[in-house]
Parts: sequence; C-alpha cells; structure tokens
Amino acid sequence: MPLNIDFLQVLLHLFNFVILSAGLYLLLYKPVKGFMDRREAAYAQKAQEAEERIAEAMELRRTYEEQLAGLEKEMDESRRSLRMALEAERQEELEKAREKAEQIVKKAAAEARLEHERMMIDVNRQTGELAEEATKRLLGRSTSDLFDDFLDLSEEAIAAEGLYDSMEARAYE
Amino acid sequence: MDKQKRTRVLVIAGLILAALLCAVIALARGHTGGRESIQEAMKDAVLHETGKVSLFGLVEVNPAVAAGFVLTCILLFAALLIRLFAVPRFREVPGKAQLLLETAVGYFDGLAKTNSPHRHGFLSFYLFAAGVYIFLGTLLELFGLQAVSTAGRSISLPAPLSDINAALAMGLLSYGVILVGGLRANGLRGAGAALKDFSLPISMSFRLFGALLSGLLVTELVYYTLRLSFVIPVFVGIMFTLLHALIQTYVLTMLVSVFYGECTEPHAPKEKKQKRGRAAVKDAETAA
Repeated sequence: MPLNIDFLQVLLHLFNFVILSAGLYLLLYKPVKGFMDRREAAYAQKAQEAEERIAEAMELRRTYEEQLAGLEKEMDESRRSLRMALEAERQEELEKAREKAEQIVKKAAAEARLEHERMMIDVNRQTGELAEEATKRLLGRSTSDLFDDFLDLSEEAIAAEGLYDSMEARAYE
Repeated sequence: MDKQKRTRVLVIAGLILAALLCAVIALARGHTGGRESIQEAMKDAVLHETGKVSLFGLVEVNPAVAAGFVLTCILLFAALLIRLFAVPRFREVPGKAQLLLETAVGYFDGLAKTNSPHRHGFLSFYLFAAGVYIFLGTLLELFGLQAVSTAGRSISLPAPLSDINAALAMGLLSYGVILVGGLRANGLRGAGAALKDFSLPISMSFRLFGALLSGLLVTELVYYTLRLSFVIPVFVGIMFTLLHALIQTYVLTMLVSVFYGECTEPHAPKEKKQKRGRAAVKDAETAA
C-alpha cells in the first residue's frame, strides 16, 4: 500500500483508541462530568430558591404596602370623621352658649324692667306721699308757700333718695 | 550582588561553556550524523519501513502502534489513580488539579454544546477522548520513551498520530461518529448530509498526519545534524511539539463538532403542497 498504509495497524489503532476512550469515560469523564453537573444543579437549585425567596419577599412587601395604604386611608377616614364630630360638638356648644347668652340677656332685661317698674311704683308712691304732705300743709298755709314748700320737699326727697340721677340715667338709656 | 544571584550567573555561564565545548569538539571531529543518510532517516520517519517493533510478540508493527498502546496504558493508569484518589476529594471550590480536570472536561463539553446544541451528549465525550489522545499522544515524543526494534536497534517511540495509520484511524472514526450521529438524529437525511462530505475522513486524516509529521521531520532534521543538536532542539522540539499538540487538538475537535452539529441539526418539516383541482374544490365544499 502507498505510504505504508496497513489496515491491520489501522484497526489496531482503532482498537487502542476505543479501549482508551472507554477507560477514560468510566474513570475520568463520567465522574468529573457528574460532579460538575451535580454542582451546577445545586447552584441552579440555590439560584431558584433565592429567586423564589425574592419573589416571596416582593409579594410580602406588596401586601404590606397594600396594608399600609389601607391603614393610611382608614386613618384619613377616621381623622375626617373625628374632625366632623368635633366640628358638630363645637357648633352645639356654640349654640348652647349663644342660647345661654340670650337667656342671660333676656333675664337681665326682665330684671331691669322689673326694677324700673318697682322704681316707678316707688316714685309714684313717694309722689303720692309728697302730694299728701303737701295737701296737708296746703290746708295750713298760702298757696304759693305751699307750692314752694312742695317743690323744696320734692327736691330734697329726690336728692335724698338719689332718684334724680337714676332717672337721668334711665333717660339716657 | 547577593549570593543566590551570583550562583545563578555561575551556573548559566558554566552551561554555556559546556555547550560551546561540545560544539567545538563535534566540529573538530567533523561528524555528520548517524549511520543512515538524511534521505533514509526522513523516509523512515514517514513510512516506518525499517524500524518495526513487535507487538506482544504477535505481529510486527510501526513504533506508533506501540506508542499508542503505551500511551493508553499510561493514561488509563493515571485515570485510575485520579478516580481513586482525586475524584473523591473533589470540593465545591476546586483546587488546582481539580480545576485542570474540570477545565478540560468543561472545554470539550462547551465546544460540543456550542457547535451542536441539539445533540451533544456523546459528542462531548468523544471530543474529550480524542482531544486527550491527540494532545498527550503528541507530547509523548517529548519524553523519548525507548523501544527495541525487531532489528535489535533502540528507537524512540514517536507520537502515535505521526503514523499515517493512526491518523487514518482517527479520521475514519471521527467520520463514523459524525455519520452515526446524523443518522440517529435525522435518519437518512442526516446520513446523507454526512456522506455529502465524503472527502472529510481523508482531509481530517491527512491534515492530522501532515501536521504532526512536519513537526517530526523538522525535529528529525535538526537532530540529524550534530552541529544543530545543542540548545536549538530544546526550543525547536518543545515548541513544535507543544504547538502541534495544541493546534491539532483544537482543529480536529473543532472540525468534528462543527460537522456533527451540521448533520444533527433538526430540519423543519416541509409544508404540505396546496391541493389543486377537483380535490381542492371538494375539500372546500366539504368545509362549507
């Protein structure tokens, strides 16, 4: 054969390589590849677990954020209702105060009216008494003297009782 | 200059002087090499017609066959030791030896997955075995293992693949792997794709043989002339051998993986042709 090609030797080389391949596969390739595959699978599993944990954490975060948003909404609602209740209470108190003030004013007005009437009655009464005194004196003196006496007595009585000032004050009011 | 540096300089100077002395002696004797002429030496390196060895006393073969069997024995013994003592101590974070093994396995596995993503289980293992065989087989000639020829002469075992028979065996086996892979993946279509490149086993074989043989011949040529036998062979021999080992391992494994990927690539089924004529009308009526 050209180039010293010998098919027997080709077969011997083939046989040799097949033995070498089988031995290398069983002794070297398979264990090393198996170890690498196992390690890769372990890393892949760890990566998957990490991804799952991240997904769980994200879900948990989303839930908490939703809860937080709900809480804020609830707080706003309660704050608004509280403000409304406070406003209503304030209005009620204000109304009560206003009513009370009106009552006080009415009472004061009534008392003032009563006082005025009582004073008028007193004035009338004193006027009557003065008139009676004056009549009595009139019966014993001249008309002008009596009239002067009447006026003097009236002024004195008014000054003594302070009725003049109070009447002036009333008049001003 | 410290003591260690001075010692180093002295050693280097001594080695250079010894080399020069040997060269001078050789030149003075006018020695031109061995008993055989350069033509005979080159012819023997290519054809192995004279330096036969006996294989287990059964048959006379080229020294490359014996080198192949020696390599197989060494590799299997080393693999056994690794399996028994190193693999059980593998750790999740690899050490240097583990990293070396994982890199080798991972490289060929990655090569198979890259070039044949659809079907790469067996290819990955085949590339690993072929790569180890070519790389370490080529490096074997660096160790200069000795054997006795049938003529009673001492010969150095060459790289197994520097023999045309070994290169043919590797090329044919690789082609067979591609053919069977295509057949199993795509049936006759895959086998046809492999058979279309019928020159592949020849080209792969002769590329392997030619590349390794060229390195061998250059080294042989350098060794043949005694004047060039000092210092230069250290660089020429080692560099040629290492480069050929790396390049040929890469080339063969890459070619096999690429062709394997082409033959095992799944094909999309052809769309059925549209029916014409009466059959189409009948179908349309049925559908309506």
